[in-house]
Amino acid sequence: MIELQQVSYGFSRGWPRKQYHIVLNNISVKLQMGKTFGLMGNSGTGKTTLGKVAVGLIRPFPGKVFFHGNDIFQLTRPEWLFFRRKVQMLFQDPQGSLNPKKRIDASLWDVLNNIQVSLYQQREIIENVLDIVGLATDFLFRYPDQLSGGQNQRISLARILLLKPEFIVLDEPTSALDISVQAQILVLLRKLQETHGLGYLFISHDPEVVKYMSHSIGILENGTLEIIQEG
Amino acid sequence: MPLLTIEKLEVNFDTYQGKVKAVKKVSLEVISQETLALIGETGCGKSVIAQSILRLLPNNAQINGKILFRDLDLLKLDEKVMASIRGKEIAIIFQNPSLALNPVYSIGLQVGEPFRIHQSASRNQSIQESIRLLAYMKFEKPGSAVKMYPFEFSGGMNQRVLIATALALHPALLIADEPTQGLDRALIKQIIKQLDRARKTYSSSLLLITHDLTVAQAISDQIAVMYAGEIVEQAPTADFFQKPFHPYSQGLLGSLPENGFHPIPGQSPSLIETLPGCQFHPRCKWAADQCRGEKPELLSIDSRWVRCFLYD
Amino acid sequence: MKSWVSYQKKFYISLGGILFLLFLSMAIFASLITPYQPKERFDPFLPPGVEHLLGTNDIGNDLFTEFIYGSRVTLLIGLLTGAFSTSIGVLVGLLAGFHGGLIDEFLMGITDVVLMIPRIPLIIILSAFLRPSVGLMIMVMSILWWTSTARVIRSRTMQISSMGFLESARCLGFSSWHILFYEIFPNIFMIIIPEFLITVASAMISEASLSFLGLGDPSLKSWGMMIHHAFQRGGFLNGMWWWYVPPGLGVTLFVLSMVFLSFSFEEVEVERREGTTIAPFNH
Repeated sequence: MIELQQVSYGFSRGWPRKQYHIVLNNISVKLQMGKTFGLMGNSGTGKTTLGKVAVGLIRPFPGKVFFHGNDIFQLTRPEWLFFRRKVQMLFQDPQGSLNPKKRIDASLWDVLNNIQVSLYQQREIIENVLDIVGLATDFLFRYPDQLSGGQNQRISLARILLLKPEFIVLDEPTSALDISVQAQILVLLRKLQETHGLGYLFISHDPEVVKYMSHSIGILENGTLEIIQEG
Repeated sequence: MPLLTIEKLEVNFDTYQGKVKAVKKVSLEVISQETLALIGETGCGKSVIAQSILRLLPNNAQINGKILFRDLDLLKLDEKVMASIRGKEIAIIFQNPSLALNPVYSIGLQVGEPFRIHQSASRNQSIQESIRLLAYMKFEKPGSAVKMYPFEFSGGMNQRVLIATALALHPALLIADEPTQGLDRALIKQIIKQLDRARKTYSSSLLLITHDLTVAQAISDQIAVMYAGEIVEQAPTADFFQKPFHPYSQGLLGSLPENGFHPIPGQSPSLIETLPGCQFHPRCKWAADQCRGEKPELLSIDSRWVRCFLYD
Repeated sequence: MKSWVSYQKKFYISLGGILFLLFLSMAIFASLITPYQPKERFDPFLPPGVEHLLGTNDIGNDLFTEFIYGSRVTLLIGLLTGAFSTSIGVLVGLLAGFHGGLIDEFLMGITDVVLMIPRIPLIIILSAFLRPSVGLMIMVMSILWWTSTARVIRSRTMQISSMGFLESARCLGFSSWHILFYEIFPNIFMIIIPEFLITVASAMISEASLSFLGLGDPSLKSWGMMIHHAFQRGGFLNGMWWWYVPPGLGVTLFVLSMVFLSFSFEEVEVERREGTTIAPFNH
C-alpha cells in the first residue's frame, strides 16, 4: 500500500515578483494494491504532480509518503532501489517515453541490464513481456518513430513490467490515443491488474474512462482532493 | 449538389522506409451545406486527403486522381490560382492549435491575415474584422484578446481562434482536421457546437476529419469510414449509428465507452505493406477464404456504400 | 526537384570525402610518395621541372617533398586540436546542460571567461615568451577553441533533457551517469562530428596564419611555415608562385573538405526528420 500523508507541494513562478503557487494542499490518501484509484480534475499540473509524488519523483514539502509503512524519503540506498522497481509511472505522451535513437530491443534490455538480469534469461523475459502486452517480436527491431501511439504505449508498459512492479501510476495513458486503440489499452490494463495484482493510480480527465477502470475515485480541485467513491 | 468531388485519389509517399501508400483510390463527395465526417484511426490517411485538397503535401508525395471543386480540378491548378482559393474558398483548421499559430504574432494579426491577403485590407481594418470574428466565437473581451499572443491562451481558446481565422472570408468549404484532439470532454462539446453554428450561419460545407465518433455523430450529415487508406463504408449519420454495416465500423462503435470499451483485436496494418485480399480480414470475426484472397469493391446498398463481401 | 538537390549535396559530400582521404594518405604515406628526403639539398631557386615537381627553395630543398611532409604537421595540429577541444567542449556542454542550476552557471561562467580571451594574440604573446613549438600551439588552441562546441552541446542537451524519455529513464531506476552516456549521448552524437570538423578547419587556418607570422615551430615545417619561408626568403618578391601557392591551396582545400564532410551529417539528420513525417503510423 502507498500512503500519502498531508502532502503539499508548491513552486514559485512569475515575473517580476515571484508568486507562490500551491499545487497540492494537505492531501492524504491511501492507494491499495490490486485496486485502481481514479484521479480526476482540471487539466493542469495538479494530477500529474500528485502522481509523481506517489512514485517518489517529486518530494513533497511538507508531507510524507509511505510504502508498506516505510517513509520513502528516509530509505537506505538498497531499500530505495527496491522501491524504485516496485512503484512505476507510465507517462502521457507515448512518443516521448522512449529514446528516439534507441531501437526497441535496446530500450528493453537496458532495463534488464540495469537490474542485473543475466544475458541468458533476457531474451526469454523480453519475449514473454511482449506477449503479455500483445505485440509481435518483430517490433523489437523498430524505432519508436515507426510505431503508432498505441504500440508505443504498449512498449512503455512492457518496459515497466520488466521490473515486476506492484503499483503503477498511469498518467492519462490513453488521452493521446484513438478511441479504438484506447479500448485495447484499457482492457489490457485491467487484465494485467487481474493477473499480476497490480495497483493503479489512474489519472484521467475522461469520466467514462475513470468509471470503467477505478474502484475508488477522487477529484483534485484547487489543490485539495475530494474522494467521491470508495471501492 | 456536390461541392467537392474526390475521384479515385491516390497518394503515395517516398520515404527511406519504403513507399507509403497513404490514400488508395478514394472517392468522396461533399454536398453543399452539409457536413461529411471522415472517420478513421490516426495514420489511416485521412489527414493526407485534407492536405491533398489544398495541395499542401510535402515534396516526396505522388498524387493521382482528380479533386473537383466547382468543376475545377484542384490538382491541375496553377499554384497562384490555388493560393487565391486557400483561405478564401476553402479553409482548413489544423490539428494542433498551439502549434498552428505563429507564436510571435498577436491573435489579432493572425485572425486578420485572410483579410490582408485576399481583400487587401489595411492592418487596422483587419484587426477590426478580427474583433468581430472573436466576438462571434464568443470570446469575452475580443478587444483585448486581439492584442494577446497564442501562448497566453489555452488550447481550447487557440482552437477557437483557428476556427475564427478559417471562417474569416466565409469559405464555401471548411475542412477541420481533428479539431478536438487533446481537449477535455466539456471543451469538445463547446467547440463542436461552435463549428456547427458557424457552418450553418455561413452556409458552408464542412469536411470533418476525426477519430472521435461522438463528435462525428453530433454534427455530421454523412459519415465515411477510412481504414488503411481506403473508404470502407459511407452512410447517412443516423443510419450509420443505428446500424453500422462494415465489421470495422461495428468494432469502432463497440469500443466506445457507452458500449463497454470492447476493443477490436489486432492492429491496423502499416501503409507500406499491402495485405492480400481485404485489408481488414486479419481482425474480422467473419473473415472467410474469399476475404483473404480477393479485394472487395465498394458496393452500393440503398444510399449507403460498403466494402465487404458480407454484403455481396 | 528533391533528387536534384540531393545529387548536388551528394557531390559535395563525396568531394569532401575524397579530398580528406587524399590528404590523409599524403600525410601517412609521405615517405613513399616523395622522391627525395625533406632535408636533401639541390640547386636552390629552381623552377618546377621534371626532377623537382615544385622546384626548390632558397636552401635547395625539394619543394614537392616539403609540401608532402608539411601535410603531416598541418594535419596533426588540426586533428589533435580538434580532438582535444571537442572533447572538452562536449564534456562541459553535457554537464552544464544536464545538471542545470549552479553547475550550469559555473561552467557557463568559465566558458564566458575563455571566450573573452583573445585567441591569436595570446598565442603570439606566449610564443614570444616561450619557445614556439607544435606542442605549445596544440595545447593553447585546445584550451581556447572549445567554447562554441560547449554552447551547442549544452543547448542540445537541454533540449533533450526536457523530453519525456529522460523522466521515464529516471523512473525506471537508471542512474544519472547511465542517463548521461546511454540516453543523452546517442542523441547528441550527430552534432559532435560537425563540431569536430569545423574546429579542425578553424585550427588549421589559425595555425597557418600564426606560422605565416613566424610563430610556428621552425623545426617542423607545416604548410604555414612554408608560406612564411617563401615570404621571408624571397619567394614572393621573385614571383616564385610554386613555392607558396601549393601550401596555401593545401590549407584551403583541406578546410573545404572538412566543411563538405560536415554537410553530410546535416543531410542525414534532415533526411531522417523529413523521412519520418510521413511514416506509416504517425499523425
